[in-house]
Amino acid sequence: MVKRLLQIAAIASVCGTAWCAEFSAIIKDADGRALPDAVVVAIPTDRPLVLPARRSTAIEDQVDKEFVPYVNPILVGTSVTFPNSDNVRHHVYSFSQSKRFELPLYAGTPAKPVVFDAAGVVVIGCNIHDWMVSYIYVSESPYFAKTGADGAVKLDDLPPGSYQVRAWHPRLIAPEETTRRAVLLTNVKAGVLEWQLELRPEKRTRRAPVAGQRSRY
Amino acid sequence: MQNTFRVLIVLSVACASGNAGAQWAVDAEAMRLYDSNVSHGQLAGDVVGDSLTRVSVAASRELYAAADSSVALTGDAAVTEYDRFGNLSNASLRATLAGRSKLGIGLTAPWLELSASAAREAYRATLRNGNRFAAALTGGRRFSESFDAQLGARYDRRRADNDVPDSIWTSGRAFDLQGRSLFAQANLAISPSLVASLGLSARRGDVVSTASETPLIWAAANAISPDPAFGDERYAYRLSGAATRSASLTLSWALDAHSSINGRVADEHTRAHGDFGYHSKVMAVHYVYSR
Repeated sequence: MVKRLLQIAAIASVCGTAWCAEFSAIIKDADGRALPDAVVVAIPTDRPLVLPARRSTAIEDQVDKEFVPYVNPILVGTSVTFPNSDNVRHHVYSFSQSKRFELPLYAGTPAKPVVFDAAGVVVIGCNIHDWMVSYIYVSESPYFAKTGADGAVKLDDLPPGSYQVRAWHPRLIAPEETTRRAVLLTNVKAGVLEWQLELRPEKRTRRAPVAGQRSRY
Repeated sequence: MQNTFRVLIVLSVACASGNAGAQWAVDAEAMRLYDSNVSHGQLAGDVVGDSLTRVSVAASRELYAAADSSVALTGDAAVTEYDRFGNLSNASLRATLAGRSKLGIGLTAPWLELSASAAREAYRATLRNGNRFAAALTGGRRFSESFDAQLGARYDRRRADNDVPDSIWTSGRAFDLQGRSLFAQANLAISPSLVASLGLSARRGDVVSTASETPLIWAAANAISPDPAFGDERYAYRLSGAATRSASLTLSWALDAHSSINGRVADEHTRAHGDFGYHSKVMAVHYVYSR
């Protein structure tokens, strides 16, 4: 369940040589605590989406047997490389509907990046280390960002106009669509939204050892 | 004994000279444990409890790895110090070779593991010194992020260095033991930090108990030897075909991604022919580190 608490403030900024709008949001959990790793996406509603001609690239690293970053928002069509910065091998896979792939046991950087050509959430895992998990959020819009530790997020360089904005988090209970809000952004007036998201309790495979059960590599 | 050392040396050399891409895992554990019946005594006068401190380290190296299987060699060393019965204090070295195969891709894919180990055990009371061998087949599956379970079968054998008969009528190899076990374990994550683990096992085979010498022991035991670890006029006697059932509950609290503090209680019942048997309770606190 999502509640919009506030819609306040007006900000104008200059982006490059053109006037652009800016949109900020604060995302909190049901207890009012700042929520990192939430993705906010803005979709223009008064004109068609225009995607950049050049294909983007991104990195999903593996450091100390964890995926870095935990949540990685990218634009649809982005090529993602999965370098392995550990001195152990990983076996990366995803069974998600919007992208199924497998990078069998490897060290270093695989020669071919993985192209995420459909919007949606792609859950990434390692077949060797069950606790390793990450989420690649494939956005259909170029206007997206991820909250920091303070739960704050800012979308720069938005062309002024009407937008539908929404928020997503790995533990979000309700469908992402239920978080939708309509905002009007102008070059003299932008918005700050505050979302309060109801989340599932965290359910991640524990990494720490249990007495009498030997660790894996 | 020499053969065991040869095996350990060969395995160690293989471990040290493995392929360049080999991977390492290190585990360390410090444990404080109380056992209500460390002598495995049946009569009230023979039942003695003791506490012990054990420190162990293990290093594992992957010798072979493919997408769905791996072979690893683990070497571990442990030192155990008893509070009251110091002659039970011991040190051990063990090498374990384990092959593991995951039957599919993903979090919930089941796995199988076949392992074999050889260990050398050296006690302060050298009469108990010996070598221990074990082989196990284990299968497991993670059903969700918070629940996994495993089942297995195990064969264990212990070969003592010494044959010190108490009389010419019986064997003195009371510490030569072998048995077969079935075991099961289930782990449930109650919260991101707390895991509850339930273990059950049933073993049939030889057990060794220590008691004062009585005619009943002579009738039931197939090997008897003095056991100075528990004092003078104490004898270790081996009972064959004994059935041991044990259950344990462990609560494990993660301190961080690499370490945890664990509390464990266990209950063990053994029954042997001739109405012999014993019961023990164990309480332990473990600190476990894994990297």
